[in-house]
Amino acid sequence: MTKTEFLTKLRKLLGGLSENDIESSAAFYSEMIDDNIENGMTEEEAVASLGAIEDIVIQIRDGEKNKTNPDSAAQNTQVQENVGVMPQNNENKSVNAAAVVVVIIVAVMFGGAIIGIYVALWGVLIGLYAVAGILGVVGIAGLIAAPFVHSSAAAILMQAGLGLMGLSLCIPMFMLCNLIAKGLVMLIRLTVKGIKRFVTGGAA
Amino acid sequence: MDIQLKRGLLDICVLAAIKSEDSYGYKIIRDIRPFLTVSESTLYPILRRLESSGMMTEYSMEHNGRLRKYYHITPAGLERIEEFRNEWTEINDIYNFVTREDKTNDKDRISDETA
Repeated sequence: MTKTEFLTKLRKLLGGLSENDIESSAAFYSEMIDDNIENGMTEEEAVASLGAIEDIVIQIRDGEKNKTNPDSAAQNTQVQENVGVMPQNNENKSVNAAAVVVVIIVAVMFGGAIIGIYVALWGVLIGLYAVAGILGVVGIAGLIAAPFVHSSAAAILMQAGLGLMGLSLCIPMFMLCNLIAKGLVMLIRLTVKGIKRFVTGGAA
Repeated sequence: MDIQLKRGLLDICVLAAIKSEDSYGYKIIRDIRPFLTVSESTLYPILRRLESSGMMTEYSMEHNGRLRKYYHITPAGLERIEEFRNEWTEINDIYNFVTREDKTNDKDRISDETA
C-alpha cells in the first residue's frame, strides 16, 4: 500500500470522529511514514511497519473515547486507591467526612432560606386576600349606606359609585389570589417530587 | 510484562523521552524501544492523552519540506515524573514483600506442586 492509499483508507475508517481528530491522526501517521522512509525504508515497507490498519483504527477510537470519558489516568489513580496505601486512605476518609459536613451545613442553610422565602410568599398572599375582602365588605357597606348618610343626590351617587368600584376590584383580586395560591401549592409539590427523585437517584 | 503495568510505565517513558529536549514521534519510539516495545499505534493515543491532560504541549516545525510535530513537556508533566520517583519507592517495598525470603524456595514449590 502506498502512503496516499493508507491515509485515504485511514480517514475513511475513522468516519464519525470529529474532523479535528481525523486530521490529527492522519498527520501523525503521515509523519511516521515519512520518518520511516527517511530512515531507509521503502514506502511500501514504511506503511507495512505500522501494522494492520484495523488495529490502528481501534486504538485511535479507544483513545478518543477515553479522552472524553474518564481518562485512563483517572482510572489508574482509582486502581491505586483501591489497592490502598494505608495512610493515604485515612486522609481520604477524613477529607470525605469534612466534605459531607460542609454539604449538610450548606443544605440546611439553603433549605432554611428557601422555606423562609416560601412562608413569606404565603404571608403576602394572605395580605392580598385580606385587602380583597376589605374592598368587598367596604364596597357593599358603602353602597347600602349611601342613601342614608348623604342628603344630596350627587353625594349619594358618588358614594354608590365608589362602593361599586370597590366590589368590582375585589372579585378579580380574589381570582388572582386563588391563582397565586395554586401556583404556590404546585411549587411545593414539584419541590417534594424533585427531592424524592434526587434522594432515590442518589441511593441507586 | 503485564499489560496494565506496561501501560502505566509507557506514559512515564514518553514524558521522560521529552524531558530534556523536545522530541517527535519517530524519535520517541526509538528512544523508548530499548526498554519497552512500543508501536506507532500505541504511542498515538498516549500522546493525545498526555496533551489533553496538560502534561505536554505540541507544535509543528518544518523538516525536509514537510511539517513534523514536536512535543514539549509542561511543569505538570515534570511533576508527574517526580511523582513516579516517589511511587517507585513504594513499588520497591512491594517488590521486597513479594520476594521476601521464605522457608521454602518458590521455584522448588512450583516444581513440587505441578509434579
